[in-house]
Amino acid sequence: MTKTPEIKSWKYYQSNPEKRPDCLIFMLHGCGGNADDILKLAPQIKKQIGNKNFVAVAPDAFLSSVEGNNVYQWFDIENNYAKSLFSKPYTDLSEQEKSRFSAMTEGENGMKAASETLNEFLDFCQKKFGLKDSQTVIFGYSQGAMQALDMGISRKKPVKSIVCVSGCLIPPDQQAIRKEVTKGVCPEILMLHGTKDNVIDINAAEQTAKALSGAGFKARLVRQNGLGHGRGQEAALFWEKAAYHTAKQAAKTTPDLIKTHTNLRGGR
Amino acid sequence: MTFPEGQPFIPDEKDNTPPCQKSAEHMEKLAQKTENKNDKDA
Repeated sequence: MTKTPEIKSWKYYQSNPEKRPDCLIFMLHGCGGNADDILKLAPQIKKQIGNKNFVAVAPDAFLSSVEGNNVYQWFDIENNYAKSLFSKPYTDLSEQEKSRFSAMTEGENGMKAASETLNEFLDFCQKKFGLKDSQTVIFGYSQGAMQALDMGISRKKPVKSIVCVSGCLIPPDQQAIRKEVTKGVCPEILMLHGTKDNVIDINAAEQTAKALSGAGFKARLVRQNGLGHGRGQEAALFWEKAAYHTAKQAAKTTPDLIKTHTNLRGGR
Repeated sequence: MTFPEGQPFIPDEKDNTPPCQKSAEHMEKLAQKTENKNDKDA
């Protein structure tokens, strides 16, 4: 019997605990991190979002990380990662290199299985906080951005938008898109990527944006000039920009419009 | 599928570390490791 990835723990942050949230930001941390790490961004988003009340939800990932206790990864990237996988055009990779991507996506600990569990968990969170897909933004950083893209574009009902920071499709090619896009019924995708990212080369983000646009998604890549993977001296600016763009996407969320009798009859 | 109860995240106001620094450092180390391996193999 195939084992399904399980959510063992998750945390949430409410911008105003006194009020009902009108937006859900579903946040996926990077490899070697945890829910607390990524939820640190939520108070920064609060400063940028204006009057909108939101709840940010972050699960801990499914697999342990070699980094130690209480840090996780969504799928096994630690044994399959190589810098060159992301810096070369996908078509130039050897079969052996391409098989590293399959090792990340397939099987009971793969990215696709993780997406199924995460989408069920997102349904659960939406029900718990009384929110809909049209009021949901999926956000991910690094490996979490890879996972966020996959769960978001394979989800049955589209969320409002996906914010992908320093990540890409796995593999960064059209073949990673396994669900057909219905025009006008797909999430808006915003990718933020440092031009000097030395972990996930911007080449992978460019290939991803091209593949997504080619498949019919409304995808936009914002090149963060001179920025890397978000650590050290650049970190404050990097995360300030991430908070700003995420707040902008979250501010666009709305509940579905209720069709009135007049609208149904085609009146004005 | 069942899910556990979530815990509220309480920001630590004294902690000025930006988000995801452990994760970024871990991935940078991994990138460095594969780069060194490629240099050795070449």
